[in-house]
Amino acid sequence: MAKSAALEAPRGQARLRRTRAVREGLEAYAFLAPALLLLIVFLLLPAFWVFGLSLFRWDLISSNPDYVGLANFDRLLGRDELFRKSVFQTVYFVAVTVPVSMALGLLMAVLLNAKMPGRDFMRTAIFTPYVMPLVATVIIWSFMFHPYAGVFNAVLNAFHLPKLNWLDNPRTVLPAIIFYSVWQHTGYNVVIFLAGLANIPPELQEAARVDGARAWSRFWRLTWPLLAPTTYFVLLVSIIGSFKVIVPILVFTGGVGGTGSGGGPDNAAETIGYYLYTQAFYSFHAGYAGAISVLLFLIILAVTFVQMGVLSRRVFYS
Amino acid sequence: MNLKKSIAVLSLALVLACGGGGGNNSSGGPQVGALSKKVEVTFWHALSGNLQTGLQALTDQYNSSQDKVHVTLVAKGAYSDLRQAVLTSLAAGSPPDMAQCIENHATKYQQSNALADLTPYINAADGLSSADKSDIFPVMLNDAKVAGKYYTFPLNKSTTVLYYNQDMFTAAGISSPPATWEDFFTDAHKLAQPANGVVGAEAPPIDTWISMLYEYGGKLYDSTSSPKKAAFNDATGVKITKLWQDAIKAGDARPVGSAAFADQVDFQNAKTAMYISTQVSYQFIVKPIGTKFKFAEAPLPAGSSGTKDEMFGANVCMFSKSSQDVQHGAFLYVKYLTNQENTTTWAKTTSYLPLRQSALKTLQGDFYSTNPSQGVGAGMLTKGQLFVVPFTATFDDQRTDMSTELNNVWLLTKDPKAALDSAANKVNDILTTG
Repeated sequence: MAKSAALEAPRGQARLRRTRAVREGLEAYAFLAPALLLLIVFLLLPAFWVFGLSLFRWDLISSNPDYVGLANFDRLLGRDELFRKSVFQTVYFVAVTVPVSMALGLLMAVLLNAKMPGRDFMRTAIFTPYVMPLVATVIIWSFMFHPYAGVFNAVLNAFHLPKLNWLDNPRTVLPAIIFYSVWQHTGYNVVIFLAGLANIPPELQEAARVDGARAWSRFWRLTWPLLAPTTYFVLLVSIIGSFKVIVPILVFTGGVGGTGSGGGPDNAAETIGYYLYTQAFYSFHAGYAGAISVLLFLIILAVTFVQMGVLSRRVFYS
Repeated sequence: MNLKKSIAVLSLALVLACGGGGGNNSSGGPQVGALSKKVEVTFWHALSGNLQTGLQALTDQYNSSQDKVHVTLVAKGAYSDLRQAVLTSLAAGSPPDMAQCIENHATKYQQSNALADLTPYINAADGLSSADKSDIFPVMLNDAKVAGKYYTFPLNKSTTVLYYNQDMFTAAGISSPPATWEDFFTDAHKLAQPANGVVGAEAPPIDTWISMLYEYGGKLYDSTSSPKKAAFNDATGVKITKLWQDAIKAGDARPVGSAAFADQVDFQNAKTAMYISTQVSYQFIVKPIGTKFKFAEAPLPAGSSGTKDEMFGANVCMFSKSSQDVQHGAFLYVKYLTNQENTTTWAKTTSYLPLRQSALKTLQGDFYSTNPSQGVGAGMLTKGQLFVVPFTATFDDQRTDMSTELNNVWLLTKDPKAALDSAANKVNDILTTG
């Protein structure tokens, strides 16, 4: 009897621990539920739905979508020249916008991390483009790119350089949009890099200075490696964001249908995101747009895996 | 259940959940009697400026003239925005009661049985009399049919005209606007002032190019082939495209900028001597030009087959999702807007074409005789020079591809034949795959 009572006590405690664990687990899920529900309803389910949609031919309004199997993918990858062009142009956009805006962001963050007069004002001014309404800034910049009245051609003219037809020339339209995008996005990178710089213990910098390390050496051997997690985050977010660019293309190139120049002259500013938008919401080719979404997802997934494979081993978290 | 079936069932369930399917079908036609109760009608439109003010004034007048129908106007931006809004609302199962419908858009909506057949309302006791029907220009009534039925009704119809800067013409020693395209390009050369950034004209939008194609005896499609194929890349298409490209190369013309209404702004600023646009553009340029210079309107220049000009503007359509009472009320409102008195007022205040022959006679008696430029479009209408492009649900996509290729020609990055062949391939692909 005494023996069985001695055995019962630990069993009871174990049961109690299990009950508590279950209760805590349920509580955790209860707290997570609202956010989880939103994610499932607005992110996961639509994502799965898009995968299914890509196998159909449907205009969003008719009641009988046609199942076409992989025909949308076959057309996209085999016959659609505009899609191929948009892929190359998107890669070009990402390959220039991301490194330039990151390098500028890092440079400005390092400069603004030092104590100087007007620092807070400068930080605010640099971050402002990122928080201003996107469409409004694009419209302002389209005036700046205007061939007769624009400030950029006035600058070229002042240096006796020929004027450029920025947004109406297939060679300059995408570089012009990249220029804008770098301006618009750099402020965000500055803020993230400043947060990363604030996390580097000042005594390390001080110790390096005492040991005689020069400014460049301190940056290259100390600041840069310690900023690796921040740089990795900025790179990841910037690449994903840049692959999805739509609004600047839409507003700079005059939308769709009107003048026929949507996507720029000779579609020279057509990106995957913009092509997806026009297929889905201008031509109402929902299935085809679904197939583009799936391919865009796979491209971003592949790029992210490559980044993780190459860079994650070089990132050190303190 | 296999994967294919599962996906089909899931997607169909989602379609039904989203309300896709267009709602009530009007097959069989409603029995139209007098309205038994007051109805509220929502009308989505794409008009702005004076055009919106004109429509609002007539609508207010209608709302206060009776107590059975109340119409609320909702501006949806440009026509492309309106189309997008309507398609989205159809996908969500909540379209408006009525909307302005470009012919191609109406065809697209009707593919999903989303439109109400207006024939029963036209033929109802309080519909249109036979005198009314014969008074409306036949080209407009025919244009209102989709698949042989009145799914739309004419409302705001227009056509392109040639605006020209009279002061620049006088300075260049030109006494009258060009009657033919040969005259047009000769005048453009005389009017261009490269040193001042002034050109004779700017490259035409796709619709003007289509009008030119018809004026030179060309055609968009080869109707004898099955399936239908593009035919605009033949010698006629190349010839008219080359006329423009040569003018651009010579500096007599230039491509239109990508900024909104760039060609209109250039004409207002006397950077272009000639400007091809709809007759309704008058409402938007007259104030900015003010007293800066004198301008007038002329018919589109003629080609070797005479003058042929595309008829623009929109019709109005009603959606089958609305109740029959609402559709009936909406039609009574349309009937009011298009009666002899109101279509006359509408033509005066907006520069749109009068819909009725009786209204044209009234306008010719006073308004057009004192404002001859405003009567240019109506003049082409009476001469039978207006045509309607054969409309299909995919025409907007075809138009976009053709525009892109023509823009390449205007930018001198493509040879006319290569660009038109490329456009024809894209159009054929659309015609085949939809």
